[in-house]
Amino acid sequence: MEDDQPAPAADAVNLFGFSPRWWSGPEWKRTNEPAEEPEPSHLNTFNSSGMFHNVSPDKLSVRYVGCGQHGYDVGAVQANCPAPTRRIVYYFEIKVKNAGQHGRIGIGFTPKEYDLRKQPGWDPNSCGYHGDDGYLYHGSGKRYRFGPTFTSGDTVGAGINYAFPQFFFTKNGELVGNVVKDIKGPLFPTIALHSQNEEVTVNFGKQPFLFDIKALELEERQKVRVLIEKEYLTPTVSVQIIRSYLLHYGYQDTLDSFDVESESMHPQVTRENGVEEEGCAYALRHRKILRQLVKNGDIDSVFQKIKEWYPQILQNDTSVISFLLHAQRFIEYLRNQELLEAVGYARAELSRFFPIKSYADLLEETMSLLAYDDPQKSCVGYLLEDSHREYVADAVNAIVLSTNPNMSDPRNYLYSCLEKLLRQLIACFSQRRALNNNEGQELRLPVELEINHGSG
Amino acid sequence: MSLSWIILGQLDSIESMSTSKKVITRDEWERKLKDVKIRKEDMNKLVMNFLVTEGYVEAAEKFRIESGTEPDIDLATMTDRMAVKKAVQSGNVKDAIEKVNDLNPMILDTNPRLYFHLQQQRLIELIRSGKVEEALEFAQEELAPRGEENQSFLEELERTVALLAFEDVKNCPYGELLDVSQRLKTASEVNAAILTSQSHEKDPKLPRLLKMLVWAQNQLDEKAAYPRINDLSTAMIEDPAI
Repeated sequence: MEDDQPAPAADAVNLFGFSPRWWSGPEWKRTNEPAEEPEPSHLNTFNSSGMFHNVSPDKLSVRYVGCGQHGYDVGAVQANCPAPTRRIVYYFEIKVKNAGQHGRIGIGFTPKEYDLRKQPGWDPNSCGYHGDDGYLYHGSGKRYRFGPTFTSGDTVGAGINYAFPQFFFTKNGELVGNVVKDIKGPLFPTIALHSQNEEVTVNFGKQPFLFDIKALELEERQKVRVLIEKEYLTPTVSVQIIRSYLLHYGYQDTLDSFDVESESMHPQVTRENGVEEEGCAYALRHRKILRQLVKNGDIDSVFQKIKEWYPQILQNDTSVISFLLHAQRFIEYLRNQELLEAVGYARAELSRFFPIKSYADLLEETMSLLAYDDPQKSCVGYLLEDSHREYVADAVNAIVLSTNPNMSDPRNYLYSCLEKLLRQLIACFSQRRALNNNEGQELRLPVELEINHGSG
Repeated sequence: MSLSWIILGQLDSIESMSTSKKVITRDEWERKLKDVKIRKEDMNKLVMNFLVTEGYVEAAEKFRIESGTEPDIDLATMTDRMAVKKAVQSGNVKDAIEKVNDLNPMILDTNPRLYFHLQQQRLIELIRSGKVEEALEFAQEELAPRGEENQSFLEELERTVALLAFEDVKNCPYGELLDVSQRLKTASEVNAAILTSQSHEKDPKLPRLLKMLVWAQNQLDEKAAYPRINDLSTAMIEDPAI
């Protein structure tokens, strides 16, 4: 949201930035669920010369049709898209239908612009496991003994484990070995044939794999889980964080019960009321009352109380908090099906916000509620939900906290301690992944927070 | 080569080692933090999950009213669970066992270790109140048979019975069994078993997320210098140490 006009004066609290809750349900869904990552599903028939191999119509089989006489007539073929990176492991398998004359079959990974007349692993930035000698080829002449040879009837698999990262290969359901993955960038599953009558079929996951890839994934997850479990936490930290959350948002009744029950549960644990409570208990009773009023939809009382207790907040009648409260009053009229009153209110109190660019979009959305017969079912229906009242309640809470003359760090009235910790958690995971060539599984908070039932 | 050259050479390589870490400035990091999308309702859920799992019955009820968050477990069953926990914590183990069986007789049936620990706690309470004869009888009738079934039970039984050999029980080698922390341990075990029987996770999510943060920062430390949170209880961000 860019400002055409200068931002409303004395608007120290950037309420639009503090919590993007003024987002509709679908918008949240979009950002919380990562974009679908494409996965290899068949062999690519476009990018190879096709001189030395023949791909079946279903694009899941390939046959060698060259002579296999020198180092430039390999029939290599890549998958239609590179291995996906937003996961812990990627894996695919081939079945050798016919090892042909010499069984010079290669399986591995190659970059996009690869010379497909070469085996994977011969040229730089590629990796391949070859069936005729059982060697691992790791680009530019690097090769070494790796595993058994493979031939007709064998199922061979190749995969990337992003946890290390490493390549790994399997034969007939058993792990053969692995090698460090030091190649960056998108990598295509590749299979290659190099002697007469060789033929393989490939499985990109449509059929179950011979190798238990799920077990490997589980193992990796478990490794991390165990390491995380070992980390040390001071025994009281969870209780402290919960307490400061309740204080921050003004859940006074809960806080009182929490304190009483804490005393009886762990009497030996002393609550450290030191630095952490700086400003947090400020205006607790007022904030609790204001929150209750908003949650009950009684915005008129909210205005009245704020004028009585903190008149400076509403001094600027085009401030963000003014906007949010007036918009919510309008919404409350609609919640009560009082359309005429709503229109009257909009004319009196909302029209002055139209010229200010930063409010324009939100104002439009709010007003558009009038256009629907059944606004609840519309795409702006989220405005009528209790969760939106909560957003406004949080905004009021933040603005009241901001009037505290003793508050040193402005971030303290925007974010509770818990929120700061969660942001740091996600930022760290995301940064770590970024430094890992953007590979590996992402941390998605909603998934972590999923309250599992029956999974102990 | 003179010593100073060697040292300078070393300093050079040490410096280049430390600067091979990516440096993320405070401003960059703050921007990253601001971009994170957190939903208030997810945080509320996290808090409710903590209150419910740890047994803050009243607080959970109040929180439900004040925040509109639905608990992920029936608050009525919570009261029963807390009654059991409380009974153990005050040393009324017989009462606790009755209550657990009222709640769900399968719990103790399917949890021999838990049942043993509860019986062990009963023995400890008898010893604590100086009822030596009763204690011996109880140990022989109730605990010995279980000890025979399981080696580790037997060892724990032996430790507990050994308490009887001492006049000054509080200061003997196994004195910690008489500590209130032992009661709390058993109470916690019962709490977890009840939660599991109700198909609920026995541990709250919050501590695990906090441990994830600690771990994630330690991992990131290897590759980057960035603003860290060193004190979880204040969540204060400290500038990268360069």
